[in-house]
Amino acid sequence: MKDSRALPGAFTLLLMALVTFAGAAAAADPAGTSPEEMQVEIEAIDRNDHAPRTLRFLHENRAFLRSQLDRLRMTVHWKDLSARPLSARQEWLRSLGARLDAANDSLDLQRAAVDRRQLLARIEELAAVEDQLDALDSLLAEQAARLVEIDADYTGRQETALALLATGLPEDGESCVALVIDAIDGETVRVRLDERMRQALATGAVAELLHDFVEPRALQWSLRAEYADGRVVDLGHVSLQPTRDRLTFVELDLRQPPDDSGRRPAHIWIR
Amino acid sequence: MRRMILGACCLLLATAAQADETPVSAAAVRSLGDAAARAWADDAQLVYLENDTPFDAGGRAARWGLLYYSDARQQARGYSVREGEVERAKDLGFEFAAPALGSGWIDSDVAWSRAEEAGGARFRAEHAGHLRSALLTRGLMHLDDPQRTTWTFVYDAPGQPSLWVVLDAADGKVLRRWKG
Repeated sequence: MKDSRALPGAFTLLLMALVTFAGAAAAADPAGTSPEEMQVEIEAIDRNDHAPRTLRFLHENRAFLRSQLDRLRMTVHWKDLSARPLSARQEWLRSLGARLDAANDSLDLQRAAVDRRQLLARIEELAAVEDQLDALDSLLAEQAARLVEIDADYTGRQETALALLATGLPEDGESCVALVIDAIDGETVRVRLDERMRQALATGAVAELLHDFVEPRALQWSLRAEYADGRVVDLGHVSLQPTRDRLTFVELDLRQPPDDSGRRPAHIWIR
Repeated sequence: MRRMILGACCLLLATAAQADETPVSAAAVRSLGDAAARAWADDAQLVYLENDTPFDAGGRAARWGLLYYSDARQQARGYSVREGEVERAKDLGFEFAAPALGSGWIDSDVAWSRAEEAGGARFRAEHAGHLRSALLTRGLMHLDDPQRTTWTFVYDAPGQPSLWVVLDAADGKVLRRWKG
């Protein structure tokens, strides 16, 4: 170590001697010193400009190594922690915190249980609603089936038929107990009216008095009303010729009186 | 006269260079570097090491660059050290708070021979390459295991991507090797 440290000192002294020697040589030469000689002297003396390069790789790859360092910091913390016993107060605070955590956990559990119960209740309610919807679906399906049957009944049989319908009540209808339809051919149909039916007819409902196959020819029905006190009132007659192979609807409004010839106005349509 | 001056200068420079060129292993300069760094900061820790001069045939270099980091100073300072002498000391000049190197790392000559066996010698032979640098770091070159201290050897060759060989500094086992 001693030798190596002595070397720079001797080096400097010799360089200084060389500089002095070169300066004397230059002074002896009035023409001046050449640029090459000056350059050699400066380079030899000023060793600080040629300080040894160090950590060259680190400097040249500074960006890469620092990026690696950043990635490393995201991976791990290098802080060393020195351990020491906890004080009584710290222990107390820690136990307080632990109890608080436990209480919070219990609350969370209770809250979760309540949520589960509410959820189950809602599921049960939904199940009940779903059952009701199923029942309604079933009823609607049955109703649709019945409508299909009725429609088939009306339209499926391509035969001559007549449906005699009535709405409203004749005069003193509150005591009318029956409507009687007499066909010219002698057949008589008696339709009994109870209280419910009278109320329905009075409020615009339509009742079917007769529905039967008929011959496609000129036909006439007379209509009478029977009252509770035994009176029988003639309500006039209906004449028409049903269309062949079709169903003819005849709707009578019993509130309207017949014309002078006894003919009742009727609303007729064919399907 | 001019020839005499030039000759004397060359002789002196050659003598000085020869003194510089006594190759030593990295571990041989560690204690001197540590002593210098502790004079700078009590908490200085060695975080990085690389060869400042080319390797010889035995995995040694005439000068080594040692970088220390001080938490208290929040600063890094580099020392260029050769056998028995600190050649240069200088603040790094940029932030580089790298983790301290682990203890018990294998010396540069052992690591160098492992790197040569792991493809370094073949790379040099096939591509007329040379060992550019060897660096000792912790975690930086092997992020999968951030606690591990590693030797990294970088070989260069004309027209070729560099060969990187990363060794576990504890036992010399090859951890990674790639070109780029």
